[in-house]
Amino acid sequence: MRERITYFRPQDADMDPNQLEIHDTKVQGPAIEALKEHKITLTLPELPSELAGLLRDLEELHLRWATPASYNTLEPFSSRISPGLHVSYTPLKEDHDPEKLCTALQAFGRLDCSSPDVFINLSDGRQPGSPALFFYNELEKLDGFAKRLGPVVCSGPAAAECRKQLQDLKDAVSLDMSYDSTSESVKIQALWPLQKREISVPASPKGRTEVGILSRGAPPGMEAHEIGVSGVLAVIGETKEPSPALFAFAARHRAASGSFTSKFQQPTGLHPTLQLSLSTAAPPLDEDAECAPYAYLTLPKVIFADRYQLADELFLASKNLAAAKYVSEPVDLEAPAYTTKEWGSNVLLQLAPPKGKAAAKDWTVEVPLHLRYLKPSPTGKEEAGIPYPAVFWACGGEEDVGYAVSPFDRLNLGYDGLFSPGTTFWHVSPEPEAGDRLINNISVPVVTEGASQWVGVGTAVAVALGFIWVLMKLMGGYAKSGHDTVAKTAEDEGKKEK
Amino acid sequence: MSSSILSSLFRPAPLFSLAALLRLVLLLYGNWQDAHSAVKYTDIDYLVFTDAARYVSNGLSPYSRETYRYTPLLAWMLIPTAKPHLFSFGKVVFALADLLAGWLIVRVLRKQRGMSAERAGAFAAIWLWNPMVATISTRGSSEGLLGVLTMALLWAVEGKRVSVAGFILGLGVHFKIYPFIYAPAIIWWMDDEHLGKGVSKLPASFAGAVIKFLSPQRIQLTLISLSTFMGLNVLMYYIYGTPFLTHSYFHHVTRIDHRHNFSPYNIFLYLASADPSSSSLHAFLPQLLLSCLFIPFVIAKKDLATSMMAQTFAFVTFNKVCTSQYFLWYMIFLPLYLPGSSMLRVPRLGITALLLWVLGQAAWLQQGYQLEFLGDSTFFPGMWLASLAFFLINCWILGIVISDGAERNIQKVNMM
Repeated sequence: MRERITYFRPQDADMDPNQLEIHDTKVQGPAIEALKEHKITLTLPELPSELAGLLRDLEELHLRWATPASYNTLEPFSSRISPGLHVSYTPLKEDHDPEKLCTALQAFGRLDCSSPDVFINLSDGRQPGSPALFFYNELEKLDGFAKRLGPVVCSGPAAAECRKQLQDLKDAVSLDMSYDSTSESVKIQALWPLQKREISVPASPKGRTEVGILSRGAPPGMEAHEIGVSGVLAVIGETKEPSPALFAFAARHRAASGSFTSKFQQPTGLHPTLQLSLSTAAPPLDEDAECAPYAYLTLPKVIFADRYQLADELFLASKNLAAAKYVSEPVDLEAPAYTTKEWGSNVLLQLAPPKGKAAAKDWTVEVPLHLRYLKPSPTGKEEAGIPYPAVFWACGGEEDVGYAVSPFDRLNLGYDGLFSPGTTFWHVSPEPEAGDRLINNISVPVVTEGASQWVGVGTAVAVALGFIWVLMKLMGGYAKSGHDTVAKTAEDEGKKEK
Repeated sequence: MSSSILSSLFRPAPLFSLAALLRLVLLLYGNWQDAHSAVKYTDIDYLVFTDAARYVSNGLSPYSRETYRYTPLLAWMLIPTAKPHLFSFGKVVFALADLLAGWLIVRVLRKQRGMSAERAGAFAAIWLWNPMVATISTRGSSEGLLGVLTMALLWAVEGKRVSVAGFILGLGVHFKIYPFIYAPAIIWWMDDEHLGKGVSKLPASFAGAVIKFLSPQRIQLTLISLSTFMGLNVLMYYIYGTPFLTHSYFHHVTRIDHRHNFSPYNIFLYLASADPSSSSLHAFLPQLLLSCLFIPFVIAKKDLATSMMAQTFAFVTFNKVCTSQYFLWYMIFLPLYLPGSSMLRVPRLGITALLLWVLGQAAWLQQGYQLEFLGDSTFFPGMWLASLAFFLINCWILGIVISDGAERNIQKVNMM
């Protein structure tokens, strides 16, 4: 087991390294403006046996969670995903039953994942090595997860400290858990947002604990595409004094300038338009770099995009869209939500920014979407929360940039597998539409529950009335002239003669 | 003077030229709108057909295209649309099908009803110059093909072309299922008198009646239509396997028709679909009793065309799904039903029926607009009541058609 705790400060912040107290069992420091990342690396035998057993059936498993609350971050922690819990995995055997995995995932809260059909297949159009199956569920907080995990992972003399650390997850804005069968290790990464926080790191009860107090720096010889970092590092129990650090690395995820908001155009109707407003159309790199803006949508099953509608160039252009690069499958275009088994769908849209003079100004993208029918409700309305998309500029890079060398790299975020490995993602910072939540609420019209007592009887009565009316006309016709031509003709002529 | 100009427009040349011109203008306008506006003239279904045709032209199954729920024949027919510059080929085919259906209407009215060219043309214009019909086919909806198939069926039956009729019937059912309702009407109609064998004596016994009913022509029609239908199905199943059966046929039985449409059952089905324990198959009963049994029994022998019109009207009115494209299925028979009908004899009745039919739809569409675009929950009571009102209006109109059909004597119409 290894732990690494990084406090990352804004560039202009300053701290005297002497203020850092390095003890044998902990590192203590003053309150500083910083974001915090806690990374834990575990091997399979270090895990509770049940959990290890579950992972042994898998080739890889990636959990990614982001808070729906708006938060501030710093490079190189700038990557974004839609708020909620994203689960992707590849089973070792094809006939793998996700039930065990799903049961374990209930640690996060009630997740609807028991049927294999809930997971969507990711195999098409992605980089080799991308996970095979994907599932998303909205998840507001990690409180329940921290509480439920305590008794499972915290034991022995350090149990109290362990539970306290788990409690800290309440304030985390992002949590990653990754397992892959090649390394047989589990990596856990949690991120706390930029705010004033006290430096306080206890030694890991079982392994090495490294602490870093870092900010952006410029080591000599740093290349243009690299991020430089400077600060101090310490290993609890090994170093008495903080050792200075200055290094650079290529970062997969960068922060683009500007921000975006997402909202539904009113009235929403049954075919709502999601409007993304970006504060600038200026690409993050100069003209020579091949950069294009994208939005990666995570759409719960209540709402979906029609891939066929997003195929017409004129239509796309009128919405400031360039192309629908990827729509996950399957997406039923008609079924109500309550008969749709898949959790929902993912869409990668390439956006079409205004060119020339207009590039400096804010601009808007419209994403046409469609609502599914939902079950009846007492009010005739059902509220749904659609997570903000991830909006970023993707810039093509060399094939092998060595992003993986970065100590803060992040992979398997859903959209990265759709780009070549050398791509740099310049993330546009999401701004809430109102309040501080990165969720777009939408009201879905449904039939009122009270209708059922009227509709059943009323429809039957109306159909019966209509049916009887038509039947009476038929019987009237039959009584007058039977069913045969001959009889009728004779009778008719007889009538006329009278 | 003006009436003579008008009646000269109903002569075949101007009648069909104007119908073709109307479609040509709509087709060109549609292409212009598609090229210049984000709001498309072309129907979404046409994109489904042409996508499927593209799959077929690449040697794939048309069912690779989601929501393709038609016979592969349609995709085969539209293979030329796989080439970008022939994208409108299908619309041209559908428009030509409209014209062919119109030509068959004129032919049935003239040869089989003895009408004058102008009078036949005037009634055919209800179909040929109908903006709704022309719009639907130039937007690329395939319903016009059903028009030509059903009219060809009537033309073949009344012209006593039994084999041709059997083939068209089998093809029609393979194409869109619903024409099976015409089978009982045609079989019932095919008695000695209609087949021109003269009136024979009534059989003495029940067994005799059965044997007499099983005439060679009836058996011939049954065998040919069944073998056409099954032959096509076996062929398509052989080529495309289970997806063909699932999408072309089973889908229509098992579908949950929750999305709002004109059907009186719509809101009921929405509520029922949210409750897995319920079944709504009994909704087929009144529909099938009327369209396959009662209506043909009373009317088919007196006036096959009116029977087919009433059957289709009943089928669409009592159907679990009902959209405005389905109205085309019975509109094709209007030119044959209207001559001598009470709707023309008593114009007030006809105008009332038309107004109510339009108003019923308008009321529903208003509720639909509020739901679809404003997001108001109009399912209940607004839309539900509107769909029931439209249903009852349709039943009332169906009653008029049935009364007319039951009292009709084809020979008398011939004289007019």
